[in-house]
Amino acid sequence: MPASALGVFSSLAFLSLAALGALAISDVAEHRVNRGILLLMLTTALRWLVASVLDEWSRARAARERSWWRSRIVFQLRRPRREGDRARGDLALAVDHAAAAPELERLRAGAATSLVGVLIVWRSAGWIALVITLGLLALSIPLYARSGRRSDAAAQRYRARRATLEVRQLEVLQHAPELRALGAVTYGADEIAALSDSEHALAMRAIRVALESSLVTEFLSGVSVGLVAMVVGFALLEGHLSLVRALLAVLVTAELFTQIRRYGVEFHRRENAEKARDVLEVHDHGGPFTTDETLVAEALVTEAHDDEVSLSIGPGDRLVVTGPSGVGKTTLLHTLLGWREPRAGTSRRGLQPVGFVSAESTLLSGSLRTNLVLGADTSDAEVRAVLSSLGLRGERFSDLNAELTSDGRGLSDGEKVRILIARALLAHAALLVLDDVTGVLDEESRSSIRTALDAARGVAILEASVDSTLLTRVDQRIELRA
Amino acid sequence: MSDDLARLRRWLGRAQPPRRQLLQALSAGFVANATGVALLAGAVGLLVDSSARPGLRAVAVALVLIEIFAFLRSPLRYGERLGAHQLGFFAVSRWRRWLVLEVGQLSYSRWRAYASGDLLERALGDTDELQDLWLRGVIPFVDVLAVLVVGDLVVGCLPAQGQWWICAMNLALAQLLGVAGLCALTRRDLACDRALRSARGEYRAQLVELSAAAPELDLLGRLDVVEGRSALFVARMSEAEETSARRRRLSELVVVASSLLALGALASRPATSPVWLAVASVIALGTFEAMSSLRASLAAAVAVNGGGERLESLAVAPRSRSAAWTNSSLVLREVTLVQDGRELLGRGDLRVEPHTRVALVGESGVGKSSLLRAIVDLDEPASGDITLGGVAIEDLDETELRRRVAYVASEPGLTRGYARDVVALGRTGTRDAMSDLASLGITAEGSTKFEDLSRGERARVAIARCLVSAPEVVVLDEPTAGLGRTETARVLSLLATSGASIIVATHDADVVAWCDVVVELREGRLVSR
Repeated sequence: MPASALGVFSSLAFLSLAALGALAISDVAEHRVNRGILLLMLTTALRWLVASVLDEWSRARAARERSWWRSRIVFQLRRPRREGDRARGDLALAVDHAAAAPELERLRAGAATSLVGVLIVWRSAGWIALVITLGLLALSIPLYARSGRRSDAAAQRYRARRATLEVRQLEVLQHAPELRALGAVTYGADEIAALSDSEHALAMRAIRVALESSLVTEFLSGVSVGLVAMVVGFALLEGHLSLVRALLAVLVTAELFTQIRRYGVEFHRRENAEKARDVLEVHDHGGPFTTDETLVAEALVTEAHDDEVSLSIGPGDRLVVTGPSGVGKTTLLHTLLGWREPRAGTSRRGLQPVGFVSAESTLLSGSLRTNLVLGADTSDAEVRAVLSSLGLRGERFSDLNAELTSDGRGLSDGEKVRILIARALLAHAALLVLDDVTGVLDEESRSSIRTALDAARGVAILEASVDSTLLTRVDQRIELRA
Repeated sequence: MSDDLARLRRWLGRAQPPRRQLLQALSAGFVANATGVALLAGAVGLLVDSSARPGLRAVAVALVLIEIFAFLRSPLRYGERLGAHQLGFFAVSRWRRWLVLEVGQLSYSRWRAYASGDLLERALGDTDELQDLWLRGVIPFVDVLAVLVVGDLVVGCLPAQGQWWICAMNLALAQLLGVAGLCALTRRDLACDRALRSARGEYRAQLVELSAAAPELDLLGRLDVVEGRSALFVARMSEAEETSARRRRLSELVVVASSLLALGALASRPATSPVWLAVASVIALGTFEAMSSLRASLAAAVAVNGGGERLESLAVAPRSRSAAWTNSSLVLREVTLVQDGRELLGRGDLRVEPHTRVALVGESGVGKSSLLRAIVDLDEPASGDITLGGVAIEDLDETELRRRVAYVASEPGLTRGYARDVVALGRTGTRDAMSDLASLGITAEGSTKFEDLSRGERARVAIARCLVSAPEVVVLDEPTAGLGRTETARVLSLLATSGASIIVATHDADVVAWCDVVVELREGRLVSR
């Protein structure tokens, strides 16, 4: 059921329950006590039933929403995390926020529908009660808008101060041993407490403003219930009104404002849900294009370097990118592979698998076999052959079930790089991209890698390197100058 | 459960709330809640009354009273929320302070274990979350209970005619059953919450791991591996979420059951005035809202408990250490240092007499920094004794130890802020730190704000900072890295004026030449040169 339809339904249901409540209380008052109490119990049970149906729906929709976003997160991970990007663990939180969207939609529709209640008030208690309710409702809208604006401004100031505090807190915790060695732990703690207090002063200001908006509805709803009660009270005294209609007007007015308030107080969740959607949306501009070549770049200019680069890599080609450290070699590789947007020019690559290996590459936590074959149906003999061609022999690499950690604990950098090259070769990569791996390799592993790469004739290789290369033959050399 | 209760009590204790504020928030919340019930009960009672026996004056007075209630309720609620926030914030400042103090007591190796994951970052989030203990936990819980009790008392005692107290007792009994049921469920919720938390934590960790590996796997055309893994953890998490949703449904059942019982209690009413009957039924009807609030506040307590538990894993048992020492000769006897299962130093001996300068040399990664940390009691050696003036270093009074033994880490941090504060860090001393800074070539007033100091500037600030307390032993880790020769000379001459004995790990030939004794750490041995 769509969220807005359910919102309409729930709003009408709660209004009817309010009416049922009015009926029950008038029964009690008019000496049909047992029926009244039974009706009250029925009202409570129905109220619970409706609330739990809504709750179940919210939960199920949120779960569906979450699982959809969670499956989409995978696509967010396709590009390497750049500096300044959000921590990836935060994506989990964003999913929780975004999952609230259907419920908020439902509450919005519910609040809008509850306006039907004014008709009930009018029919049961006359136009004075109607004017009171409508007038107070209308009053709440500009007040809401105003407190929303002010709350934004206050929240911004608060967030700035909060960022300062967070940075300082983390700095203090991350230098805690130093602080301890200087006998200044108490000072650090006091400083954080003082910063925290000053943050709270601003936070209180922001909260005060935010609470004002809920104060507005609470106040207006209280006044409205009171005024309506007064109006119908006098009407009762004068004998114009039956008790049940009087009760109906009072209870419906209360219900009406409750629904509006319920949506109003979700201000922060609304904001969070909107932000979370922005974070989670993947803006992916197309996948790899099929070309006859493995990789083609035309007049490509990267963010890090001003020169145009054009290249075309076919099966078995060997290319090397050289230049001093910091000149933009890694950026060029990332742009060629589509991980970063070029400033100008284009790059396309084929659909064949590409292996990318750098010193920072990580493994997966799991067995050595998992890391090498990635769940594919590759025979152990083939795996062992590739391992030994890269010089990964001996006891440590004979057990394919040996557990590895993602940071490669217990492996040297050279061994980790060779495992990753083996992984690419086993996945039948058409192109192997090596990003400055020579620095972490000792002479022995370099020579075994050279032999293995020479043997893999069909595999194109693109290597970025400061000076020495792993390639014995170079078809094209691209030099980036500082 | 008792452990968890004790934990929550500990956190409340650590917050040291100002009693007046606490009372204000509690009473504002109570009155606001009570007014909410009273408003409805009053309005209904009034209508019933006016329909039964018209009498304009009595009704008018009651109407005015109700209006006053209506006007009062929202400012009261506002006051309660503000008070609760204020209490929460007050508590968070205390908790943050506690966190720094605790982390500041950790041994280096434990600290490193926490710092390498995202545990320190998460600790900050956890202290924030604890705020809910006041805001959504304690204050609503206490207030709602109080309103329930007052409501029952009103039903039992206020009506002049009839034996309403029996009805009130039944009402209270129904509510008591509800509270007991909710509390009993909470005990089981704790385990469920732990499972959910750990599933969420694992998923987060998995996301971090996959985000590093995924781009390369995608290029290899094997994004399915990432999907498969992520799906595995998502499934585990969804299962935990499903379980906790089931438990929520169960507690909702308790809420509705006790509300129905409360309404049923009206069956035992005396046959008196319809007004009181209407009022009593509205009060009984209020049980539903009240029980729902209680349930929410118990759920908040469960959530807070999880964060509190993780934070307390950072706490260390305080050690009593009060010994004083008279002279500052430092002796290491048969000290063994182990890091990550690797032996850095095996049964090493070293003696540093007062006023001598010792250079500690050795290749990088050999364990010099670890040895220095052990010497200043930031980390414990695997075995062996380190004594100062004949007293074991771990028995020395910590404040005294830090005043008389200074240590400068390699790559010192905490160098942002006003010069005065950066150098003094709240300590008082006999030396003029600003003139020390000037003699190191950094001209600054106390009110100068250090923002982005270069590595060399940071190193020099750290030297001036360590001398503030006029220490007798100064331990330095690569103090001249990033400094030119003139600056190095300045640092050395300033250190010479301090008259302290100096132990310095260094690669710098100038520093080595300046020292009286040179000791090399090589292959787990300390060798004098």
